[in-house]
Amino acid sequence: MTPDSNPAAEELLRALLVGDRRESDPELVALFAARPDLAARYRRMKGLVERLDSVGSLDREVLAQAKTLPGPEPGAMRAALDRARGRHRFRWWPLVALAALLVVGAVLVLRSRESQGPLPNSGSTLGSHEGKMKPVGVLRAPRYEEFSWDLPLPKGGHYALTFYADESKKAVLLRREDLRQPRWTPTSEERALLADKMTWEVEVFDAGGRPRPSACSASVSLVR
Amino acid sequence: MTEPNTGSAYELALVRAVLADEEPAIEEFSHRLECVPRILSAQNARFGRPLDEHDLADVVQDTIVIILQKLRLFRGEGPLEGWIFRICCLEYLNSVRRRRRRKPVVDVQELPVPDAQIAKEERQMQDRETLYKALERLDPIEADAVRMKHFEGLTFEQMAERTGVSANTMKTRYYRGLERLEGIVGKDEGTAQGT
Repeated sequence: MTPDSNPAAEELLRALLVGDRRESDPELVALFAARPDLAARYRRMKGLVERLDSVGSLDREVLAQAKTLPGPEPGAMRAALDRARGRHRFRWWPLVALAALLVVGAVLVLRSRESQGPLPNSGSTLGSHEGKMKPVGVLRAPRYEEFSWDLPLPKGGHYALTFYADESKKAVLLRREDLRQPRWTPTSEERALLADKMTWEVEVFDAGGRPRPSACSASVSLVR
Repeated sequence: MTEPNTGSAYELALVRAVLADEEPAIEEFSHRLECVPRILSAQNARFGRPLDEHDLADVVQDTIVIILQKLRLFRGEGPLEGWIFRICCLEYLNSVRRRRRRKPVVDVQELPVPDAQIAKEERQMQDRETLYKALERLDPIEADAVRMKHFEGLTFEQMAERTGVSANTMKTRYYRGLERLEGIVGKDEGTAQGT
């Protein structure tokens, strides 16, 4: 939209739109014939006027009808307003307080679970050695630290520790033998070989290198 | 409904006092809200009364909550009742839509409000919002002239009397406002169609 540079043409258009002139006015007929761009601009503005009139007249009609209707009981709107103010003012506070409590509760639960190691009932232990191996299940920690197990070692015997990529134990991630203590902490290089989700197995060998039946395995997954 | 004092400055001062929890303002505001049940009843009559008295009472309460939530957005463009009217129309239509969703339709004849009427009302409401929002972007003096002319249905002489300027000045303000409004609406709708 650019106002016309011809003041006379602009004045005619203004007069037409404010109702001082009619479309049939010969001067306007001639102007629009000579200036199709101005005629198009007029049509757009006329369309806008019709839209404004349509909205305005409908709104006025509803408001006029509303004025004829009986009003609410005395004090009814004040009561409705007070109820609404109560809802408006206080509605968010319980929600905010509840959300804050939930956040605090969740943080406390997470911390307590972290301090307890693996989450209860969140993993599966393969075999019948549940409780003898740590860690098992879901471990909320940035990385694996110590692996430990509670399996008796025959005199002169050793443990063998094997980490598998899955429960089928087809893909070996890492294996450590000749362990004399029921615990093992990976070095950073070894840790890099471990997977976020894996199965680990402890085997027990006697002094003659024969496997004992007390081997056990468990799944563990790391949640950072 | 008694004619309220509807000067822009007065309306804004009243709204600010309500937001500041000033008791006399809240009392006055509660009287100004008397238009809410009337507007909603009038709309309900236009639609063929799909909402019963209880539904309508719920819509009144919900509308007042919405009005309070939006009160900070009131800029004093025209009378408070005009602003409330737009919220009432929107809330009424929303409640009719909600009611239709709740009630399974067994027979088209049983529909309290025909789809075509809902669609028509939605178009009108959309058009109303487009125009009102475009008016907010105009120079306030020019926007007032357009509002008085089309929304209040005043003549240029009545507008002149109300504002204390000549009718010719009002015509110029109106024409400039219309010209700019056409540019804004045309641009917005052109953009919307292009997307």
